[in-house]
Amino acid sequence: MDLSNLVPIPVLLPLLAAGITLILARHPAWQKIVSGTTLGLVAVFALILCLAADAQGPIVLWVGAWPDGLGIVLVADRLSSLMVLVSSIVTAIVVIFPSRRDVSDSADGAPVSVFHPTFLVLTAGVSNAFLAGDLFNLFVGFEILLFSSYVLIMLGATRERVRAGSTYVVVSVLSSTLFLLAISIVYGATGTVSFAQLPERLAALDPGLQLVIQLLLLVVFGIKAAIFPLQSWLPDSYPTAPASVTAVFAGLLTKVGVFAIIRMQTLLFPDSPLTDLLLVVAILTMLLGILGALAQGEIKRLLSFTLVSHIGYMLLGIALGTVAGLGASIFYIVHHILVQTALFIVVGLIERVGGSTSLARLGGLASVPLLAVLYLVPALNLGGIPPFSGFLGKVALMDAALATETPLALLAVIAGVATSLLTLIAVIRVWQRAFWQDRGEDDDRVHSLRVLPRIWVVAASGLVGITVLLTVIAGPLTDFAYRAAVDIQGGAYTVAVEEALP
Amino acid sequence: MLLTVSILAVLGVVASALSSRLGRFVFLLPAAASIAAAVWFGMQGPAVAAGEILQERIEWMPALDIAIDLRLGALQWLLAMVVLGVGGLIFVYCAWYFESHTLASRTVGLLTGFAASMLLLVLSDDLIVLMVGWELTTIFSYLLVGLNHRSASNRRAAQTALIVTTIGGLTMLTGIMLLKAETGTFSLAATLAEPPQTTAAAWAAALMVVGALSKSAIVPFQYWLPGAMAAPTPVSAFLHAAAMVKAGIFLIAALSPAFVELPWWRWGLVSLGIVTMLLGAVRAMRQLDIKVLLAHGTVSQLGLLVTVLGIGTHASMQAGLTLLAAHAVFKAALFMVVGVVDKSTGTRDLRELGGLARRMPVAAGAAILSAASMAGIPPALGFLGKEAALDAALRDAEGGMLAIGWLAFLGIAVGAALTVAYSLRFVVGTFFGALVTEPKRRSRILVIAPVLLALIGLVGGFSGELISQLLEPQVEAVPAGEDAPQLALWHGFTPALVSSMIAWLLGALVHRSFGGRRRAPHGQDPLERGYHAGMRALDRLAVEVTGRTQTGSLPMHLTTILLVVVAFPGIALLLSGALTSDVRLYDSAGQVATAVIVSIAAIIATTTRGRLKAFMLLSVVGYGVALLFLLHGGPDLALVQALTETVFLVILVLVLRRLPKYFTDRPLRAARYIRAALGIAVGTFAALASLAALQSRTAEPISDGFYRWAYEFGHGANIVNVTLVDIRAWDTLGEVAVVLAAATGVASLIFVRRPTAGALRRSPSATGRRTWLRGAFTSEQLASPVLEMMTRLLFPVMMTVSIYLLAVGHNAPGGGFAGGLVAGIALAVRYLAGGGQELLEAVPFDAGKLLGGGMAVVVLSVIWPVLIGGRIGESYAIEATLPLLGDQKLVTTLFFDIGVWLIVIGAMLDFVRSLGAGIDLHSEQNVAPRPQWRSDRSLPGEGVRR
Repeated sequence: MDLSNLVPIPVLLPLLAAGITLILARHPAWQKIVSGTTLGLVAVFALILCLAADAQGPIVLWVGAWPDGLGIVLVADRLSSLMVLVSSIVTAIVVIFPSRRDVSDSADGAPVSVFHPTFLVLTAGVSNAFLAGDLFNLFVGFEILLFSSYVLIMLGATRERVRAGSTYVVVSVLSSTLFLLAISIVYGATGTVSFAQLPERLAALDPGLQLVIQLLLLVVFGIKAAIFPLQSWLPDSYPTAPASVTAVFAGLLTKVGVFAIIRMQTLLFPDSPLTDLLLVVAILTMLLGILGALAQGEIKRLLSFTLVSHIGYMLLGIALGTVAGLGASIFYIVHHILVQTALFIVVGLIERVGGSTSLARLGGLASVPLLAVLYLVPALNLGGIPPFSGFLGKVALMDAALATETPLALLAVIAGVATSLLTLIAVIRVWQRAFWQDRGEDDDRVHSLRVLPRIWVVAASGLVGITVLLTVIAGPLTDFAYRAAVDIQGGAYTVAVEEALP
Repeated sequence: MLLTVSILAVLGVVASALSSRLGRFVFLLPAAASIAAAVWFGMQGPAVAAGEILQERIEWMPALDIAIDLRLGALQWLLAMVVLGVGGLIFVYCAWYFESHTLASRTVGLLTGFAASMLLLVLSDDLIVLMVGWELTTIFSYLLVGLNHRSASNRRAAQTALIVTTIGGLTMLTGIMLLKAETGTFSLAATLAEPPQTTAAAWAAALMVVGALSKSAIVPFQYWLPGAMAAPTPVSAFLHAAAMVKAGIFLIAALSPAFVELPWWRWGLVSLGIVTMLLGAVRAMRQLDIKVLLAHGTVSQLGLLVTVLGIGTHASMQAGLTLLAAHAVFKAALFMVVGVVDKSTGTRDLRELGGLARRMPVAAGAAILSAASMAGIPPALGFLGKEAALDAALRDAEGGMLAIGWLAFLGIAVGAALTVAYSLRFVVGTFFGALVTEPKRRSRILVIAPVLLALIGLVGGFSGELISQLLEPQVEAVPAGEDAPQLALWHGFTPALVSSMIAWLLGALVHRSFGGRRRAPHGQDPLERGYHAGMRALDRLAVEVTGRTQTGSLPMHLTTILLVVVAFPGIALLLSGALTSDVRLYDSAGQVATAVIVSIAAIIATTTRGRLKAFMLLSVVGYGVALLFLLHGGPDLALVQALTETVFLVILVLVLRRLPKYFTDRPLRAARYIRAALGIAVGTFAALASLAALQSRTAEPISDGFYRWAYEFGHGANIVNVTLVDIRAWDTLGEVAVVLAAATGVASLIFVRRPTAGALRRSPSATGRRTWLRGAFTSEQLASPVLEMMTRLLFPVMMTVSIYLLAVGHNAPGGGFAGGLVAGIALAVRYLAGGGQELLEAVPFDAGKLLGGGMAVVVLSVIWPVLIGGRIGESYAIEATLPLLGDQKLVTTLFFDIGVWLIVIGAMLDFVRSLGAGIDLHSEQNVAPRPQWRSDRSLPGEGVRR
């Protein structure tokens, strides 16, 4: 069956919905329905794409059916369709959370309504980045998601958000500039930006220049993914946004960077894995990130540091450059998108129930058992406690690393184990302080889930449920991830793109 | 087996929920399940003793070779019986123990979950699944220890227990992974069948043993266990006496067939075991809280188990496992008795206890029987085990391993003496002597479980033969030592018996001398102090490192990124040799002149302090670039660049009204030259890298095909426009989405809901001033009639130009983007001439409608070909002969371009409304910042709350 025309749906539907929600600016309830339905539909289409890509190999669309490979190609292979699926699940759930205040932060007189259109554009950008079949379109995908993220991170324009937002915007603009520079160098040297044509043409270049391009792209994607030493902007910018926004940022945006690194390493530079460099970077990312988390007294900031830290795990698998390593990384990405989002969402609930996200001001939340479970399950998952997916991902990564039998890989395993322990310590401290310890004398607020809209609780439970479900479906999921890894190592991508030429 | 685990797991999840309905009887659910399962396992006993292995397997993660693979051998059988049998009785006990409903409902779920994970741990053959059970028991232990989390010391104890055992668990995981790398399997049975002999495997074994030691509270990890006594007593009985702490012992027993011949195995285990045994026993002698006394006793007993198993022979395996069973039975019973005492008297302090034997004879009987087993007094099961242990150590000494054997023998003997002493301290201190505290309540049901366990301990003493048979398969698995002798109460007058008797005597003496002491224990365990110091050091390290790496300063973030660019790709470029000197510097003199002007403007812009000046210089750069495009033969690019530059300037000027006149230069001064050097380095890299790229071009660029196909396939003469709306329409789609997002962003920043902020709406035109524009300023002061008139004339012209550019774009310079910008500038002019009201007059609806409508048009124009069987984004040409216009060709991409045009106009409208009219509104309401004259600061508006 020809499913090519389905490939761009995860981009087009949200954009259409963004247009509609802008027109419906005066009808917040309808806006919510439109964006909720759209994102749900996208998830369904993504699932179809995922299953189809698994059954019949990469699904390719040459947009506009231009001959000679002139046009833009969109590719849903196992990896990208899986990423689209997971990200659409996350966005479909998160869109439920923004409170009325977040959504209508702009006054009646504003020329446009902000939250829903921008959020939908963001999801379109994320999907586009995953599906892009050439370097320039990847850049466009990045820009879409970046611009909408600039808007979302400063939602409400409080002093802290504008301050944090400026950090984020300036760093992102710098990285976009570098990306553009890299693209112009690539196009200058090879005369193409297509992922399918580049491998051959890049290989024909002077090896020194190849390395320059690879390192420059690595810097660009490294900033996005927040890997050492390019990570310091992230904890300064993410935590101040509304919890639901931070949840999506933390869950998805860094993973887009990681995804781009995978694409680049496997597709463009398959013969230059830079294993040692990346392993060192992975180790430092893990350790510095988690040490940062231990030094925090505010939950969202603490979680932002764990986010940085765990990017190191994904990089570890990529650095190995083996099928096992990549498969493990892909599994870990899926796990981390869901868990990190779930945690931030739950922190949003904590903020509502407890009135703060600062550990110094929280306490006694254990008297709300459902909230306690909702926090503890993903927190233990992040902390690498079995049988949750974080543990399984780490087992897969360690397995892949030890199979290479190099001292540096062993060191990375040790660093990974240490990070796992420190992550557990970090999330358990939050538990001890916010849930177990009583709040001080001034505790006159009644802790109850009743202050939350019921749909929030349901949606958060659903998301946490999905993170638990990962354990149950770990078998099929790892199989899928390894098949995806075999795909990207085996050149299925290039072949499929060329076969699909109109 | 799987069924049992699953039933318990499900019960664990639902039990807490059921407890509101069933009350205390909810504990009977897991109790019944456990006991029924224990009966089933008991019935498998004969088969297991005959060496059969029961196996159940479910695939879990085939890609990693992980499966839920349960194997019931003799060792697993023993542990399963302990977990289910002792566990079942403890559940029964729980039902009458808890009084607080919330506490009970939490406990039942956690405790049942624990039982399930413990069973999984002991039954699993797959080491990863074993690890799952292992860590889950740790977590359940953490939550159960912290059940009473109001007290800070309880919380601390729970955390310590968690972290210490997790450190061990992760070490063990590393070991498992290393082992897997050697053997290629996670299966314990497969590993035991062919033990790997490599150094890496030895390391793996060592790491796994570390995990085992931490779980079983062996020195240097022992301090967490006494702290864990913060848990309710039944929990301590189950987790911290009978089951969980046995996990490490279980692992050592399971691994020893494969690794017992490693040079460090026996020495390491025997010496650590002895140290733990003696330390625990000595500490137990000093405790006043009888529960903590028992906890130290547990530490000591665990040390004994490790010592015995560490000997690593047939006989020692048999003795060790017997002791394991004995300990589980008597220690659980003792803890439950402590619970009974605690409940009836309200205290566990030896200073307030005494003489209870007369008041609570049944409980005292159970305690005495169990304590006898603990002290190794015949005919209890404990005696049987301890005799066998002493005997095994002696045999070892005779069988060649002289030093280890004697060391173990002496250690066990001394340990036995001390055990007698603290058993006496417990029993005599609690039940004999003068009555201190009168028991308040009687709890007949509560004593059932301990009495049953005490009886089991007694009966066990007489079933030596049966135990020997049951354990035989596991005992035989050890590759060292001669055949184990059959267990029996009476072996004759052996050296082991003699030493046992000496131990009783010594123990009684020690009790006589020290057992009466009632001084509170003081001082902290040095190892525990070390742990806390370690945690503090970790915190310090975290703060130090984070303080250094996370400065929170934007310039530092940027500097780091740019340094990385110079250090990695930059150095790589220098080393690559991809640069050649073959450079064509320019094509025409015009390019040189423009380049010089642009460069000078850019350099001055970096050093200027005035905002307006800097913006003007940036515009020079922008227009210069447009000129370069034009000189290079790109009129479209030049047009768009020039229009964008104009829009940029207009917007900047709108913003500038409310910004301070100067940039601040305070933080820049110090590191100015370093920054300049970095900037120059990055700029040089960018230039050289681009140059090197162009010099090494090997293939024809893809755009060569555009010349031909743009007309033949795209039906347009203007390649740039065909590229934008057709070849790379997908990119354009993305870019207009960016424009849309930017528009919403600007609006959201300006139109923040503030207490005083109102809305833009049409105010009735009150004055009678005749104006050129309907919505023009009503105040004579602001109005500029000339500008109004110009605008009146200019606006229709500009709009016509805009539509013209849109229409001809496909074949001549122009297009939706350029057209939209022209229309946008026209709107800006109307705003400048007449203010917000005039803009509202020009476009009487919000910009969102234009943006949204444009977006919808764009998306639909990309999707529609699907309806006629085409590809998404495909374009068609419709040729028609129209009256007056003659032959006309309409390319469907025009619709796409119209969408782009709408979005650009919408965005422009939004910018002008927000940055123009929105800021006007803020000024009127005094919420906009007020720039200070000749300064780099502005003051916040007075109407702003924050």
